[in-house]
Amino acid sequence: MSPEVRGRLWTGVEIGAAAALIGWRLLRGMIDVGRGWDWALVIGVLWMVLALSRRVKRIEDFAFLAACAYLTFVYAYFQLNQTVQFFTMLMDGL
Amino acid sequence: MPFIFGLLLTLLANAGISLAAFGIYRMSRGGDRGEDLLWYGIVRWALMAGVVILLGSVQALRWWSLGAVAVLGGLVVAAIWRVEVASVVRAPWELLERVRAWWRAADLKSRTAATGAAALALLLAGRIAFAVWFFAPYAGDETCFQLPRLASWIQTGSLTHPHLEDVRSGYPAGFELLEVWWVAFLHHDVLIEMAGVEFLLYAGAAAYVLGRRLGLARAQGLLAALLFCGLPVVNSQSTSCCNSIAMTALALAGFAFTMGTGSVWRDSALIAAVSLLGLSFSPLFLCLVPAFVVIAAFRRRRPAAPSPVHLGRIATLLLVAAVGLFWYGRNAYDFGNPVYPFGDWSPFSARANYTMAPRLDSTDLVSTPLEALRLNASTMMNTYLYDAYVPYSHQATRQSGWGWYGMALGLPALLLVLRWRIFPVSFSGGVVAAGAILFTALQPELWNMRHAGWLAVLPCLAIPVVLFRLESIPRRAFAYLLMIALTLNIVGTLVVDGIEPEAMRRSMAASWNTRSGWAFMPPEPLTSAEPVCAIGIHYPVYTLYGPDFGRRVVLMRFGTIEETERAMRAAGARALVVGDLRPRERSALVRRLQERVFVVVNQRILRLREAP
Repeated sequence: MSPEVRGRLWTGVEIGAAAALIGWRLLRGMIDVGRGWDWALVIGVLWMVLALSRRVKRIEDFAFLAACAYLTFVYAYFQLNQTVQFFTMLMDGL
Repeated sequence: MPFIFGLLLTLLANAGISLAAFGIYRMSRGGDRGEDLLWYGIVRWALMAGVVILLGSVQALRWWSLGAVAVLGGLVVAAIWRVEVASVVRAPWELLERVRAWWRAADLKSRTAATGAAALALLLAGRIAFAVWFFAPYAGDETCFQLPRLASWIQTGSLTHPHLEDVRSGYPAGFELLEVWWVAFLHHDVLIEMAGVEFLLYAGAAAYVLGRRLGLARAQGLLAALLFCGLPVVNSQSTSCCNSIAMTALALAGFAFTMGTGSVWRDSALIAAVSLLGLSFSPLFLCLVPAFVVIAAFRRRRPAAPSPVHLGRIATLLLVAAVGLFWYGRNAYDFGNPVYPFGDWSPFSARANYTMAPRLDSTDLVSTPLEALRLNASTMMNTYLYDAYVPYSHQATRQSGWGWYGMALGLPALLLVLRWRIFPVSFSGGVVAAGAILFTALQPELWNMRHAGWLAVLPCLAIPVVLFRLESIPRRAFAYLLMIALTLNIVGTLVVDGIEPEAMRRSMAASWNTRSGWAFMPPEPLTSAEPVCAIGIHYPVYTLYGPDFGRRVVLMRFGTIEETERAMRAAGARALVVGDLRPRERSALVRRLQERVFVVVNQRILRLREAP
C-alpha cells in the first residue's frame, strides 16, 4: 500500500471517528445541544476540521485556537462567577 | 520551645536525614540524572518513614531521638563522602550560575517567556507560603481520621493505633509518618503542610522528567511541570495534609520510570520501588501498577547495557518494601487482615468497605466494578471537568480540579499531540487504562476525582508541545490565554473549600502558636485544656488536640455506654465529645442522659456528672 493511499485511509478513519464522537454526544443526549457547551462535542468538531484540513498548518492552528477560546469561554461560564464571588467576599470581609 | 529554635532543629534534622538518604542513594543510583532525582526522593522518604516507624515501635519517638538519628546519619555520610557533600552544598549555586549564563545568552523573546514563567512560579510559591503559614488543618478526612494518628504518636512517642470508631483509620498512614518530620521539633503543627509541599515539588520534577522522556525540550518540560503544579486539584492538595498529593506525585514518577532509559531490570526495580512506596500512602496505588507494567512492556526500548546486580540497590529496595508494606503487616497483626478495612484480600469483592465503610448505611453502593467505571467516567466527562459552580477544593468535591487550562486548553492540545503521535501509544493508552482501573475501584462519589489528579498530566504535557509548534500569531494568542489561565488557577486556590473571609480573618489574626483549625469551623467546644474522650465518626477530633498537641484526647470505640464511662474514669476525663453514632449507641447515650449520669454541655459535648 502506497503512503498516499495509507494517508487517505487514515484520514477516512479519523473523519469516521470524529463523526462517531459527535454523533455519540448528540445521540446519547448527554448534552444540552441548544447550549452546545459539551467539551467532547467541541473536540469532535475540532478533530473533524483537523482531519479535513489536509495538514494546512494555518487552518489547523486557527481551528485549535478557536476550540481553546470557546472552551475557555465555556469554563468561564461555569467557574468565573466563583472567582468573582470569592473576590467580592474577600473585599467585603477583609 | 521558642519557635526559632524549633524551626532550626526542624531544618537541621531534615537536612541531616536528607544527607543520610544521599548516602544510601549514592549506593543505588543508576546514572540517568532525571531518574536519579526521582529515585533520591523515594530513598529519602523511605528512610524518613523507616526512622519514624523504628523509633515509634520502641516508644522512643521524641524530638531529640528523631533529631539525633537524623544528625548522626547525616554526619556519617558527610564523613564518608566529603566530596559529594560539598557538591550537594554547591549544587544550588551551580544551578544559579547556569541560569545566569543562560540569561546572558538568551534573546529578548526567551527572556520575556522565562520572566513570565518565573513570575507565575513565584505566585504559586506565594500561595503555598500563605496556606502553610496562615491555615491550620481544618478539613474533612484529614482532621477526622488521618491526623489523629499523628497527634497520638506525637503525644505518646509511640506508634500507637488509636482506636477510632472510623474504620478508615486503618488505612496506611505513610503520609503522616513524613509529616512527623515537620511537627516533632516544634511540637506544633504550624508547618505540617510542608510534607505535602515536598510532594508538590516532586510532582513537578516527575512531570519534567516524564516530559523529557517523551521527547519534550527542556523549556517544554519546565512549562509542563509548572502547569501540573498549578492545577487546582494538585496545588490545593499540597497544602491540605491530604495524602492524595503523595499518590499523584508517585504516580507521575512511576510513569516516568516506565519510560526509563535503563535496562529492563533497572526499570522494573524502579517501578517496583515507586509502587511499594505508593502503597504506604494509599492502597489505591495498586490500581496504577498494571498500567506501569503494560507501558513498560509494550514501549519500544532502546538497547541498554545490563545493570550489574548490586547489593546496595537490593538493600535499598528492601528498605522501601519494608516501609511500603509496614501498614499491611500492622493491619494483619491488629485486625487479622492485611488489607483492613477491606472485607477480605480482594479489593473488588468488598469494594463497599473501601470508601463507604464509615457510613452507617450502605444503600447507595454500586454493585459491580463496571458500573462504578461507567458512573465515574461519565460524571467526570459530563460534569466534573467543568468544575461547575463549585469553589476549588482539595477533596475535588463535584469537580476534577483541572482548572482553567486543564480542560479548556489541555484537551484540544492533547488531541493535536495524539494526532501528531508525539507520545507513544503505549504511554497514552497506559495512562488512560490506569484511570479506568482506578475508576472501577472507586465508589462514584462526589469527591472521587481527588485520587485521579495525575490523569491531568496528559493535557499538561500536551500544552507545551503545541505551544512550541504553533505559528507566530496563534502561538502568541495561546501563550496569553495560558498565562491568564494559570494565574486564575493559582489565584483561585488562594483559598480552597470556599472558606468564608470571616474565617480567614480569624485564622490570620490569631497568633501563630494558637492558630487552629477551629478558625474555619464552629467555635471550639472546649475552653480549657482538660482531657477529653471522643467517640463516633465524622468529627474533627484532630483539632481537639490543639495546635501544640497540648490536650490529652482519648479516642475510643463505642462498645457499651458503661465501657465508655469506665474508660473516661480511667483516663481522668469528664468531657465526652460525640461524633455521629449508630442508632443503638445514640439510644444508649440518651438513656444515660435521662438517668442524669451525663449532662449536655452543647450539641457535641457531654459531661460526666460524678467526679472520675
